Amino acid sequence: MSIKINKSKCIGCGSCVLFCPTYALSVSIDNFRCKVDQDLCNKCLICIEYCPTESIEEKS
Amino acid sequence: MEKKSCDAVVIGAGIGGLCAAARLSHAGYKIIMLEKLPILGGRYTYVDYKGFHLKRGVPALYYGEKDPALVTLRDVQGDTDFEMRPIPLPKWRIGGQDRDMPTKGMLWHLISLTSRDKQEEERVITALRRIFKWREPSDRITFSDWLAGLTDNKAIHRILNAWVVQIVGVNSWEISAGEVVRDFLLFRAAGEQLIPKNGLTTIVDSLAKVITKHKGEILTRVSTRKIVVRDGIAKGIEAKGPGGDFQIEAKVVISNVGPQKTVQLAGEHNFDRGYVEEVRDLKPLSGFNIFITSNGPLYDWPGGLYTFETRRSEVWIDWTLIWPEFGPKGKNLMSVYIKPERRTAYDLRKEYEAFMADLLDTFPRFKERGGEILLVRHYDGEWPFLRALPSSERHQRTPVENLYNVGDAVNPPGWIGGAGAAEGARLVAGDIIKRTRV
Repeated sequence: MSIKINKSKCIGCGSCVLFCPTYALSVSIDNFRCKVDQDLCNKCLICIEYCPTESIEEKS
Repeated sequence: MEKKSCDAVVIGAGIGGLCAAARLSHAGYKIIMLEKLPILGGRYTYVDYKGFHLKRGVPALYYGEKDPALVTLRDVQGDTDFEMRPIPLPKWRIGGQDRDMPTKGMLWHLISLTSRDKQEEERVITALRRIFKWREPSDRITFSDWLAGLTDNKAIHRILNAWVVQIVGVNSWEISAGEVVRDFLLFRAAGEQLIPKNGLTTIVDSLAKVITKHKGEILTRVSTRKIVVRDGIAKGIEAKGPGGDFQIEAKVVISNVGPQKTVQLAGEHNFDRGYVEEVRDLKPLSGFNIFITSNGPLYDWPGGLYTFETRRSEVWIDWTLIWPEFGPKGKNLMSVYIKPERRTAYDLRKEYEAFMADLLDTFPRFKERGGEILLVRHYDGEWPFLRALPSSERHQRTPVENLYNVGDAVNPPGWIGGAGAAEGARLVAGDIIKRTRV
């Protein structure tokens, strides 16, 4: 299972970055979308709760 | 499906929703407020990140002691017993020098700096006084077009554009002359902006306490799926929460999720086509806000620095010079608002590169002072700077009876942002209390 960010919905607001307990998320300065470092991600799914644009999904 | 009922259901716990809910619960209405995120306050709160206390959007009580959010707390007998610190006016970097601006007469000072001669200075100042004191200008021309009718002096145009960007966050050619004047007059009448201890979370928490004190329910992690409308009247909502789906029956529905989403939730067929198009035409304000940290201040006066002779206009503010608690000891926290080249369809990467070049030009000792980019944020779409600029008070009442909007898309004329949402909520709550009886 992993976190996937929908790039067409994500606006780069950084909400997920602020609430990720392992700092696995960041806003890319290449395309201003959020991205996840899968090695740091602990799959807690907190980011999904905090995304105001509902751009993050759980993918198996 | 579980069914609940109340007098007024509030969709969204932004500052507009919170103020409406607090006023109505104080007036005896049974309130249920629903928020899809786990926290309240939306773009009007602060969060902790890597030891720093960061604003999500609005930094301060924009209108100081007269700010509608503070007025709301006083009106509903909420807790206002917290320290607040003012944000002094920023210095402006003009011709490479960081200059203090006079607290009174700043605009006249800017014009005297840039006029070619006394006649031009008097002509421009007289015209400005007239639009402030006698009658606001038309909304059919932009502010820069209005100014072009008085002078072609590029220096005056440039500095007045900087003045406009500082107040409303857009260029003078991207906004009507009337809107600039309305916003300026309200802004000028207010005192210094104020930051409560712990930032605006303090305001959010105080309002939430008022709601729950009056037995209102605040439910988080609840996503509203539908506004129920029958015979043109709002009857309640359907929502999905951690416990499953449920319905709420209510006399009044107040939406704090923006007029466009309100139409979607209620169903477009419940509104006339003209209204749907009006709502679609509301223009949000997008842009960037970037947090920067350093080992010591990058400038050395409290307040901010305004640079407009750079590639982009930027307002830089060091928050730890006002509240050192907003960062770990020995660290400074600055944020910068960047005005993109145009309101829409700007190139994100190009804007960021322009900003980075401006950063190093503005603070040549950035790297030496251990300067780092803490967080880059883009505001747009569902999470804009402002949901509509200009805002549209006409959309507070919707065509569906007892369905209201609150929030920064429907602020009364001249009121900006979260403060304006609080003021709009006052009007909406007042309208509800006048029309319904509980």
